[in-house]
Amino acid sequence: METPHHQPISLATPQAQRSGLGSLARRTAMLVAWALLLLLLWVAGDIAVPAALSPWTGRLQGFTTVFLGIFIEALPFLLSGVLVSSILHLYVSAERLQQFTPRNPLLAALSGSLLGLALPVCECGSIPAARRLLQKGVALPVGVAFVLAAPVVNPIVIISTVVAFGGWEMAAWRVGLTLLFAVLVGLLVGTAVNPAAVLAPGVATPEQDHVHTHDQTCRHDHDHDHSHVHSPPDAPPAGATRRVLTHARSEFFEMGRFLIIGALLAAALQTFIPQQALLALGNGPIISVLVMMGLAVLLSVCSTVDSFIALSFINTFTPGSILAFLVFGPMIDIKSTLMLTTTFRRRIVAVIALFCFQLALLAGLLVNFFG
Amino acid sequence: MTQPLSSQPPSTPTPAAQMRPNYLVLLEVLLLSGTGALLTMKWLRGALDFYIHPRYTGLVLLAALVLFLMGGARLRDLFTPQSAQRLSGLHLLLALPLLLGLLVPARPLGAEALAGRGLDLTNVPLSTQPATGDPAEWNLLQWATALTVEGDELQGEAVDVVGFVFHDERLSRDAFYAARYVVTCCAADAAAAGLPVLWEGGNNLPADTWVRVQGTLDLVTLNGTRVPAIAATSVAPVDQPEFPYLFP
Repeated sequence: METPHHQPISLATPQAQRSGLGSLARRTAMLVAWALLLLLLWVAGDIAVPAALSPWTGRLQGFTTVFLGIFIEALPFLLSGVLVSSILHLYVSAERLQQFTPRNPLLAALSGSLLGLALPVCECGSIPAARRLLQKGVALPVGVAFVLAAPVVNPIVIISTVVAFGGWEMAAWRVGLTLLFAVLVGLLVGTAVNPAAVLAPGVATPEQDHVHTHDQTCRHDHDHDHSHVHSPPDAPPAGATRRVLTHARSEFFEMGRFLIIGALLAAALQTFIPQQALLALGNGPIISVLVMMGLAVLLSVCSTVDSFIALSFINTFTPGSILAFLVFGPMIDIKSTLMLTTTFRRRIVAVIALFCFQLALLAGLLVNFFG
Repeated sequence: MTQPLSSQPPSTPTPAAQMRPNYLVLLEVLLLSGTGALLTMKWLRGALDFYIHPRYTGLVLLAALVLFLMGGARLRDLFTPQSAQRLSGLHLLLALPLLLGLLVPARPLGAEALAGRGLDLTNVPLSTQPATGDPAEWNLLQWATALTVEGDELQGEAVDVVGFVFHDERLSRDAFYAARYVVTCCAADAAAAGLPVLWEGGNNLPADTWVRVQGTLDLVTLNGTRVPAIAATSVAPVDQPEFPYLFP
């Protein structure tokens, strides 16, 4: 499957554009993608499949069901995220936002990690929202801490964790550790000397409300005229709904592809790697933490429900591993990692993932050995 | 940020007299409203429950509505001039859920998918409705919950469950598994609950057949360990249940 990550940039800036070789590689990738898709549709669609391939029909139908399961489940949350982001973009001025965020990096990271309480979006929604905040020039620690903490530190997820575990203890640990990790990673990444080295190219240039250079930050079609920036935010101009929808659409297409690639990978891993093999490893105090963290990445389920899934492992797995699953999963999984690359440079995404991994592993081990 | 699908300049309303639809805009409209229509259609046919927990049905329909609205808002740009953009892999990617949803028959997870996941009573989410009352009215999930809690004490109780047929080569010729998926959120987290069924010629039942199994709970030796199983007195094929999955 072609991963068109840097495609938008190359489309807009002609210098990195279509050398003969690149075009050939791209065409080959397209051809392979089409061939795989047709093969999948043919075998899973059960259209005159020869007997030799028929065992694959059931498996690929299972693959399709899991893929669509993840996609359909995540869709409402992704849409809510892009709608929140679009409203932020259109009706909240950068000055207003910057005014409210602290300059001190520690306070900034702390406020970012708590922002989820006010903007309840889960992981598919927190990334578009964080990206928008960063584009608005909000301090880097705020954005990083928000993107990591918001999927857990929001009312819905806190309640679902309390309900799943029938008490406050696990929820308190989960929220406490998430806040701690988000602040730590927010400080680590957020105090980078040059924010441009951290943020993905389109995000690095802050939006300037008064000099709207469309080819800088908003390369997609804006058929709105941005007059609203100068009018008070409480008096939206006519056609407000359509503006939000138009903006949300372009952002949905942009983030949606990462959701789709992530769901494809997660479904493929589930279909072709037996979960049983993973679970068989699950008893030692160290290996169980690693296995549950691996499972969190593999399953890529939404943070609003992962406590119910964690609950099903509570009898077979160590408490530390359950906690690591609950803290690490919402921060890093297949789809969120791919979606993060729309906001941060890939190198930084790798740093964030690695740092979260180490912290969650450490916490899980501490709970298992001293808890 | 960048938007590869549509990079026309800010559009001024173009008179429809130009009459040359912008095909990429048309494609976007089709992708959005098509995905919305797919979700609505799956819901109408009762197939949405094959993918997600029914508690999310309302949210998904709301998402379908937003997709329709986005498509509708985009329809206005249908006659804007053609941009330099061409069809790309991105469109293929975004069309993937639509294509798979339309062309692959909607089926709940079945015996084939179980081969990759394995069947293990201990990893099923425990039922939140405690298995009380008459064991003859328990479903497979309640049985799994009760067996983890009470174990051997249930031997000899009457069993009456519905599940699909799953064959495991470790079972003898005259046995099969009656299994049911337990879904917490979406099909991605499905775990199977099941019990071995002792039934003469059980191996000949085609996999994925839905059956109603009646009998009593017994203990059998499987790979050297004593495990609970159903000594069946009746195994009858039934229609696929309205909700093929069980929900904890």
